[in-house]
Amino acid sequence: MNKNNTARLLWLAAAVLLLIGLVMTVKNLRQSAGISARFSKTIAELKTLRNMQEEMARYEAAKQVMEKLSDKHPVPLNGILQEALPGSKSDDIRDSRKDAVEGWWIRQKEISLNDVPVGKAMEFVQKAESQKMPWCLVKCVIRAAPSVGGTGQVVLLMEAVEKAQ
Amino acid sequence: MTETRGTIGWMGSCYGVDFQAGKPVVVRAERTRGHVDCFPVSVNDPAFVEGMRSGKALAAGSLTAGESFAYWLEAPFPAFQKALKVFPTLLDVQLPFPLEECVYSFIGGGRDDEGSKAGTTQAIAVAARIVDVQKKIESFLASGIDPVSLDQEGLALWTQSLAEVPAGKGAESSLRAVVYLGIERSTLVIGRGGKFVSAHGMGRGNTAQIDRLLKTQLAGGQGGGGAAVQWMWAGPGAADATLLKKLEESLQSRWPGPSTVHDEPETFLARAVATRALLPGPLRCNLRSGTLLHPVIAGRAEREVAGTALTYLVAGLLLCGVNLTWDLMVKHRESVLDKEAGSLADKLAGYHVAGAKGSIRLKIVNDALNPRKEKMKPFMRSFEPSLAETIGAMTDLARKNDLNYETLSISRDKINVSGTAGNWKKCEPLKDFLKQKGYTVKLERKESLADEKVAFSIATAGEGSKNE
Repeated sequence: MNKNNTARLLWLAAAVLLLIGLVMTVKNLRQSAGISARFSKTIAELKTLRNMQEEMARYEAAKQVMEKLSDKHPVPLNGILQEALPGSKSDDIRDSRKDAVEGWWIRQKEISLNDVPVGKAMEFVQKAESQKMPWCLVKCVIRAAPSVGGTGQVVLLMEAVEKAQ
Repeated sequence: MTETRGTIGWMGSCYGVDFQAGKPVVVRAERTRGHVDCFPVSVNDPAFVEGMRSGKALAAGSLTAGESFAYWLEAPFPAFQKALKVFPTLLDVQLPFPLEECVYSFIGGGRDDEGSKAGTTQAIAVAARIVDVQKKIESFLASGIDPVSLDQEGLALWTQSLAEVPAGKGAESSLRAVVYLGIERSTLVIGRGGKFVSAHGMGRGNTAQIDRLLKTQLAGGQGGGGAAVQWMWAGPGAADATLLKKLEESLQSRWPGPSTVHDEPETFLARAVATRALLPGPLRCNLRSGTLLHPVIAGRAEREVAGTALTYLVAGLLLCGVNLTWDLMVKHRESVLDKEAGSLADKLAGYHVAGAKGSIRLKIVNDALNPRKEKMKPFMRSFEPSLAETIGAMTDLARKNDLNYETLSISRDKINVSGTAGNWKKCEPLKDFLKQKGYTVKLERKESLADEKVAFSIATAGEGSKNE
């Protein structure tokens, strides 16, 4: 192959490669907006999944705290109720229990108190919630007594976790 | 004046050769930092002889003003490239022999040159008959020298004269005559300021011819001389004080002006061709061209073309490479992200979430997590603020703002409260408090009752109405 042919071949190869390079550049530039959108979407998905993972980790950590307690049974509510509202009697106590996770139960008690000072009822809730194996107020309905201010019917839905025997 | 590169500008050194009465006068030219130093060399110098024999050293020579010519042309086009197309025809009509028998080139005169009219392009046509160039090459070869470049003597003398003795300040339009006094012949180069006008070969020290040429070229053939001329002398004859004095006396009477002999006048032309071959500058030319082109120059030109092609080839390769790398990087990054999202989704769901992506994958994971999350909520509630605190704060607000609650229903996601307020505005603090807690609040107020109290009800907008 003489020198002229070599140079011609080089020019041809250069032209072809430059053309291919330019076509690829244009193609990549055109696709860049779509790629950016796809990346953003996947990153947003990953972020949501990580948030879910973190949330579950918080739940697991909370469970671990309960697991470490020596007594894994909530204290009876009647005793606390008598301390907060001496002499009072719940008109209606409904007790329910359902399965939670890994040998744990969820206990719920609905307590209906008639004509009690609302402040005292809240004291009872705070005492129940400050136990080592705490109860939690899940729902509360207060109907004010028309005659005496600050009193009324208080319905409390308390909840606690309990380790199965 | 347009500057072009030297014929062998890639070289660091070369030999410049001037034939004086058939004997070569040689200088060795070495380029250092943009200027050339010349040293006289004997024609029998072993390095020179060996360099010429092996072809490792390159030599530059010239065609005399009698063997070649440099002639101004003007084309009626403002663009040089366009003018280049008509210059051969314009040159052809000036020649007493066919243009096909010549080697020629056109040197751009630039746009701002004196004398160029608007819309025209001037150029210097440099040409020589092929047969004369061949004869010149043969005469060089007979002395064991194969010149890579054959310059035009007139242009070489002119640019070297300007390089060694530049036109002084205020002398931009003054006349300059460079006279090369050879052993058997002379050359007269005429210019104005820095601009080359013409070059003429003649007999040795022919003052009558010099006078006639000056009249023709500078005074348009009208009357005698009278114009001041800067006389520059070079060539071996310039070293002959008697000859020089005689010539000066003869010419100064009609063309008065300062007279200067160039340093080392014997090697002036050899220096000129060597310098022009090595350095870029104006009016560069090589009449050893076309079919007579030296193989070194031809090879270099081929290598340069191949080098340029190779540069474009590499640029093309790089462009393709960059794009391919970009493509691979994007795909890799996309795959890494997708893999990460997939493995996290599998881990959270507890099984392989196959074939789903984006919002569908998130829904699958959420559905898989929700039952366990629901069962674990009671564990979490023990660490969240108590509802009793919210009830206490609402009770405080009622006391401070004259509010009476009739019913209050509160859970983690929803609050409903109804009652009466002292006036229309008293409900606002309660509304603001609930908003601060993150609930979406809907407040309804009714017209005043008989006791002027305003009945109100506040409901948060259903389950999950907390903004947080």
